[in-house]
Amino acid sequence: MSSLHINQASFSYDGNGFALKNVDLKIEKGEMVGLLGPNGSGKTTLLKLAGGALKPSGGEIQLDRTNLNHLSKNQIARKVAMVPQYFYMPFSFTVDEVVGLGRTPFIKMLAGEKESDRNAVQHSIEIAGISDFEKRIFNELSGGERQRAILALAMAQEPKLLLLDEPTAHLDINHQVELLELVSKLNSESSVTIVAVMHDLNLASLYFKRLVILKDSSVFADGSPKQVLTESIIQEVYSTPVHVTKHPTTGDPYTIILPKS
Amino acid sequence: MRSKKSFALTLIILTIALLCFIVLASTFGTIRIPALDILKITLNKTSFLDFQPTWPTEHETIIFDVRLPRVIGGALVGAALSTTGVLFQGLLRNPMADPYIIGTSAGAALGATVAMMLPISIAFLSFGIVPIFAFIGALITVLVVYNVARVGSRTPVISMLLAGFAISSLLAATMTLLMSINERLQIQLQQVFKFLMGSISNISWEKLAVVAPLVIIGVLIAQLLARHLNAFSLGEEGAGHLGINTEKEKLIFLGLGSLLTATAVSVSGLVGFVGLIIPHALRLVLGPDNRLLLPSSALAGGIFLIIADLAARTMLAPSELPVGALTAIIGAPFFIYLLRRSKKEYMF
Repeated sequence: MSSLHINQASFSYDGNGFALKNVDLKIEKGEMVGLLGPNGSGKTTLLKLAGGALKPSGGEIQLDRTNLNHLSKNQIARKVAMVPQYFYMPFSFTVDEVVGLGRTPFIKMLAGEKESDRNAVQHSIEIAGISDFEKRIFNELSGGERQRAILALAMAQEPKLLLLDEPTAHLDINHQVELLELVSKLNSESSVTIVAVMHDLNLASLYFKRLVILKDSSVFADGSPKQVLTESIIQEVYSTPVHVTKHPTTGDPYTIILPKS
Repeated sequence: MRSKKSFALTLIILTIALLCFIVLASTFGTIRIPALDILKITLNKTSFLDFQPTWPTEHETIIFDVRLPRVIGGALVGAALSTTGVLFQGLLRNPMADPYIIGTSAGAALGATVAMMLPISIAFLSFGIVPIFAFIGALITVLVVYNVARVGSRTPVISMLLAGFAISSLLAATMTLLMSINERLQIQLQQVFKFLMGSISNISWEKLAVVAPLVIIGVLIAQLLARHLNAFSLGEEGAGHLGINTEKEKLIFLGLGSLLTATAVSVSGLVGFVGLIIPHALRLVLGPDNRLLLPSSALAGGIFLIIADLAARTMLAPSELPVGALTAIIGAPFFIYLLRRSKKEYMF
């Protein structure tokens, strides 16, 4: 597992407005953190900075206390994996071939794949529960199957830090729950540090012990679901009237949206 | 993942087929020379073996000075164009990319035309300079088309075709202008015309000595990068998350494709659609894994162009057809068919 420390990080896409402004966030080893916030609040940008896809224009990102700028792409990829929100595959690779791509950072150009690579792929396929369709064409899978295959790809990287960008966005509730259960299991059993952008406040409340809410490119609230998901915070961040109650079985905060008029 | 055995078997079969077609294609021409004689003549040259000649000596001249260079040249052109097709398709994440369609060939052709205008290159005599100019032309073109056609991390078919068409038109117009104002080109008009139509007739061992190493090295480098090309099918960002320095490797892929296209164009002029047909057909049989697709396409592309060139020089013998026209007659309808079929998938 890895720690992720974001120190006073800022980022601007065009040099004018900030997509992120002076963000301070310390995520320690083994945590499972949900990132919340309205569209355009900087969640995805934060995830891209954490994965090294973007470099901060100010401040620094530390992975296990090393500045990301000092690590090569390959060194980052051996520790950090990313599950994107949407994923377009132009060719008819089979599922196990797609998962196998996760071993790219570990295979040297002149050497072939080793036993350990094949094992990692097989292991990820089993954990993700996709053995039944590992020989099928990836493009022909349903949304839920695809998302699990993409998660298996990320797991084949044997990451210490797993970043997920709205992993449940296009899934029905059954697959949403299945995927988050799987991610929780990775966190608790394989002790992978998890940072996931979430949209659904109630799912986030159920599955994450720590939630960070972004507003206007900065951290607005940071704490347990009980501390963060309050009526006043949600109404202020989303400008939407809500009523927060308790989940009947878990006791976690449960947000009910109220009509605006 | 497909097994290593079938990987090797596929490549062995294709290699044997390529060698057979090289010999077979050399038997045809105005004079039929039996395949066995060709083998004996070739083996005699190695000086390990010595068969008693049962053939007239001019057969040796025909085989060595005319047919073999041409057939081998065809194989190299086909291999280079097919490999480029696979590289561009993987990088652009677009199965319809082809060096001819996206304008790389036109860029190389303009570069080569400019080289022909230079006083130092009398006809094709100082051949070495042609690939260099062709490479510069190809590289500039591919960089322009790539940057014009890209939408986010994707290169949709429609914008790639439009960008390729616009740039190709510009390059073709420039070539026409050059041809109408430059005396040196007008003297060689027949030569230039052949070049634009695509033809392998003008080839010698001297040219092959330049071309063969370039193509072979290019194909080998592509093979080294095959695994990373697979990762590029996840897009630049996805490939970046797998530890690939995408900005650097993208340039390597584009440079490699330009080099191979330029080499092919320097030999044959504009031969289109090989880079589209071969990888497409092979993907259906072998799957999309570039580690197998790249070497198979190189070999099958070689075979394809040997056959196309054989047809070009024998169909209406003794007069010759431009092989580029033949590949376009096969390739263009194939391209339209693919476009119709894949409309929904790739159009947005």
